[in-house]
Amino acid sequence: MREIGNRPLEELLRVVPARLREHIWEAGTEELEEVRVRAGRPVQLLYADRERLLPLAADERFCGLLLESLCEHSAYAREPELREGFLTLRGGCRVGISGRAVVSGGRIAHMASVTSFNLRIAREHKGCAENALPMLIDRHGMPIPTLLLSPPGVGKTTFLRDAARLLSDGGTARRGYKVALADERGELAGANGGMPLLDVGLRTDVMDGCPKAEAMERMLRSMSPEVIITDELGNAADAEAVCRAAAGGVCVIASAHAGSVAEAERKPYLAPLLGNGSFHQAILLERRGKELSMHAYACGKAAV
Amino acid sequence: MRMLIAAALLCVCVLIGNSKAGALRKRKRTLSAMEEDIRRLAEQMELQPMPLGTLLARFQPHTEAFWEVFRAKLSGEAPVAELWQEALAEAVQARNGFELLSEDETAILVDFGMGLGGGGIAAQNANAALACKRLSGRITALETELAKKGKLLESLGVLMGLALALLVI
Repeated sequence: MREIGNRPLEELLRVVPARLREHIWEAGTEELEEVRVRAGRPVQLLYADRERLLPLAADERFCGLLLESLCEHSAYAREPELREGFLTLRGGCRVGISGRAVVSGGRIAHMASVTSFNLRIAREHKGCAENALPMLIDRHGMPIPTLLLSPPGVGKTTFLRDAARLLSDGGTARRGYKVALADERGELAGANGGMPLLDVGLRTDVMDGCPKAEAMERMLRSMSPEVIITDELGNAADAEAVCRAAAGGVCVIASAHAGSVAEAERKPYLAPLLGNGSFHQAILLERRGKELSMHAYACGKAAV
Repeated sequence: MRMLIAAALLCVCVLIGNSKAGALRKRKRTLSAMEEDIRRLAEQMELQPMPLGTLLARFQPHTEAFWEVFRAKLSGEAPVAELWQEALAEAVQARNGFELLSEDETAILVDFGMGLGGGGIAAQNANAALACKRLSGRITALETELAKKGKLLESLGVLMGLALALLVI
């Protein structure tokens, strides 16, 4: 296996079929962000500022083989994830899937066939949250409860991972905090068997593979965290868990999909969090090409 | 000289009779071992849903030679059903008892391999249960065949040997 300096991508390439791996290597892995495989269409590589279509069309057999490879020939072992429409690989890369679902009792029972894959390359950009650190820590050196907003694919997870590392490790002028990572999909820490493969900090405890609301509650009860970090708040249960943690005196830093604060406020489960003091600020991440910009907005009565 | 030839003929016939009966027993043992292995594998899949390769590394099967080959093949890139069939073909060549299986019996194992790994735990359980049921049916049939033919083949070997020996003498 070639060394490409990106561990999550190396882990991803280790499990994909050789044919696809060779094509990706040939096309280049620098700044590769997504690999899209769709049955009957050419494989698409998405880079930070360009895209490339490969001379490789995936057929049904190839899609089946890709799914088997990603599941290590053991779809039964990934059943709950497949039902939710994604797989998280060792190293933190997440694979979104779609195709034909079989519904039973109003819920997706299993995927009868998977014909589209979105292989998202996890990135460990150490230092990417360094510039935002003054936004995340108040003048007394305490972390500020923050909701991170952006549309999909901008870099919320990468940012949160680095923020966890920075807050956990501390620095010369600030102490490190006990950070609890509620990592439902295993993307933040890229844990394998509970061991984080990505650097999430010295004082960070990780709970992965568990619904984030439950993970937050459990860690709040048992791990005495000072900061709880979690990715992609997506429902009322997540919001309630954030509310409880915040009411318990723990700083919560979380992310959610939204293109603006106004959009976030239109989500029924996010709106109360922005007004009741659970979050003191929302940071909006925006990206143009390779440039990432951040804007902080004070929430509710809290002032930054 | 004739006595020697007669003794040799007797030995050969007894050996042939015994080997025919032994082949039936070995075939039954192979099927029983595979049935037990498949049943245990399904139980372990349900107990600890982990990748097949990891599971098989901890698995202590009765037909170790076959499962070891299959586990090694799992690092390959073909679908699991193909890897399973390759492992079966190698087991036949290695003469570990799989070479004695009838086409029907091999088909049961091939069918099990087609469903191995895919779907959910419920699908895996159903796949294993079906294979075990079919294997169990074959094992019962073989037991009946053994009860009928096992002793008969051995006796026939002895009798044929004696008859030939007497003719030579």
